[in-house]
Amino acid sequence: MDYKKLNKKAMTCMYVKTWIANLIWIPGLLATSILFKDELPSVVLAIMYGLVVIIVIYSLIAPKLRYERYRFLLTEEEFSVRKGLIVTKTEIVPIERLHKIEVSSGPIFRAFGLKEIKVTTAGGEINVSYLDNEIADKIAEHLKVRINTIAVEERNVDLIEAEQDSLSDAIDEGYMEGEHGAE
Amino acid sequence: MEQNKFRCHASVIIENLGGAFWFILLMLFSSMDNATEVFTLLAEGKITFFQALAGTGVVFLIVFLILFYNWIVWRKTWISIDNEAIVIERNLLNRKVNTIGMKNISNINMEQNIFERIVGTYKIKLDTNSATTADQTDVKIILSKEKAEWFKQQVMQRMNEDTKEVAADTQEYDVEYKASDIILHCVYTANPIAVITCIAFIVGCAIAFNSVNTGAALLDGLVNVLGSVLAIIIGLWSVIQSLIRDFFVYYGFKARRHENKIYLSHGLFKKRQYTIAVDKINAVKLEAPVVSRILGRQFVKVICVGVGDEENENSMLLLSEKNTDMERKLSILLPEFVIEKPEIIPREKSSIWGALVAYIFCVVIWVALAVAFSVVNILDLEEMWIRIVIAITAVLVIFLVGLSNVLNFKTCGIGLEKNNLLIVMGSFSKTSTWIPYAKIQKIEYDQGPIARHFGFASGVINILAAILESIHSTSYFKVEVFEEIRKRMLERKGKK
Repeated sequence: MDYKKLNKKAMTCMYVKTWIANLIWIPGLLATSILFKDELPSVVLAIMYGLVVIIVIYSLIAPKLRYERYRFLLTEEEFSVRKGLIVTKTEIVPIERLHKIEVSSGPIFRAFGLKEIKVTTAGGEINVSYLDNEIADKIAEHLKVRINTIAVEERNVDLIEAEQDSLSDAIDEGYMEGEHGAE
Repeated sequence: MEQNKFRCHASVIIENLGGAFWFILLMLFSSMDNATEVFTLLAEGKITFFQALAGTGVVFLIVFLILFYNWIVWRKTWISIDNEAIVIERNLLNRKVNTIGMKNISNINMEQNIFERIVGTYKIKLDTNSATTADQTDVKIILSKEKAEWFKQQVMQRMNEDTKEVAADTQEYDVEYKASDIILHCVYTANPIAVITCIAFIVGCAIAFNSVNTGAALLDGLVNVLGSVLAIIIGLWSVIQSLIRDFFVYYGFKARRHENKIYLSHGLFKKRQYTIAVDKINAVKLEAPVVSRILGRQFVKVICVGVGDEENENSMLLLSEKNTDMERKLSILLPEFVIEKPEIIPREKSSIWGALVAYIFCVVIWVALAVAFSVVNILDLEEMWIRIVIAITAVLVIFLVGLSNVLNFKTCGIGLEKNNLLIVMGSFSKTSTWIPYAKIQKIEYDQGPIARHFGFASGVINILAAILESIHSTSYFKVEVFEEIRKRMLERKGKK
């Protein structure tokens, strides 16, 4: 199966999102450790500095790793995403069972020209983020068309089955009448 | 278009009061004394008539307003039924119309609590085909017995269902359980730790009673023992309560299959009658808790929207049975799920490394705890027995966690039948879940670094059900197994 990779600008967006989230922690930890330098035990200070270093390293490595692992797949029958940092998660939903398609983009996504697609089935949902505007719209359109096509295909099968049933009923009845007639 | 417009039974006013009913009663009783006092003062001429009215009137006014509001709600709530939908309309200050499409109704059930049994009414439960709207009809539909049966019949007719089966109680059932079977079911499915603790306490009490045998010490001893018994009963209340509750819930359990429907009826105080459409069943679960598993018994639950999503409600199909009896009864009620067991793929062997790392971590922590508290005695515990208890606990935990890991490897598996997926999970207990591929809504499989290296994963299968029953985790299997499930899930009729 040919899982597709995201556009390069998705990685930049991941970096921006990670750094925005961590910009709250890093100055917070640094400010606390400087302001309460004399009051706090040295062990606590060491832990706080250690945390800052870990957050910085995480913010440098995690988006790149996450980008490299992020993949999505769209076929005639399924929509799938594979993502994760240490643990990778592969999620698959059959298009036939989709109830809802939601396309959204927040301020950061809009700045990068990216969108997020959330598809919902009766028993769960999957999110595919960091998609190019154009690709996201195409996927949403493809899903809509496929849902309708599948519904028509299934209805046709039902109709054929119903016709076959009524035909076999008619044959049975005719056969029975024939039998009665013979009597 | 055919229209039938009607109200709920008037007893819904009392039912809707709920907690407020007791509040009203309390207020009425407490205000009786005041009223008598006020009337005495009035008779003695110490207060005027208007003062007396103000003194007693406030309480009665509140009571009146609460009752009046509920009466208005009842008066202004109309239920109508046409060929397309059930419409529940409330015309208070805001007009609210709740429309439930006939095609979305998966089940219509009737149930009775004690109050409804006394009054002679039934509560109608409508289950819809969607997880988000399941069991949310917003309004209680409470009708007299005849009206409820008529309503059920009308809805079933419009759902193109068999209407001859409404008076379920009058029909013969395929499976019925006696009170003794239900008691045994409660025991077999009880939490073993709770049962062992319960037995230990009873034995302890018996010993204590036995030791109280001399005159002077008798009274003190009895007081102590009775105190202990009371404490034990309070402590074990949750266990006792769950046993008693299960007995009451499943009392008179009976089940019947007719065409494409299963009819269930059970309950002592709250009588429940369910109708389950077989095509709405999304999975069948065979459960064997520890005691049941040792005794070769299991019970069967069905997973479908609507049944099992309320508190204390259980989607039980068969109570604890010997495996052979269970299969025989299941073949009557649900032959669609009596399938020759596929070859079970055991849990991936290479996943032992992850389990081993976790187990070694657990052993190290408990050994360290035991050494610190029992050998080095860092807390300076004077009583030797406490140190011994800590050491024994550590050994027990290490043994049980190890045993649980071994049993997990022996129990867990996955089976790929032609139309159904079988997930077997458990360590001491065992749960086998049959899920038709066509009912799977989503598959997910996760791989950590070790799993990626060895090419295995753990999975989650999502189906349409109440929240607790919608997610079914699997153990660790080769990625190819999940890919095969994926392939089968994507098969559908009309696929080109």
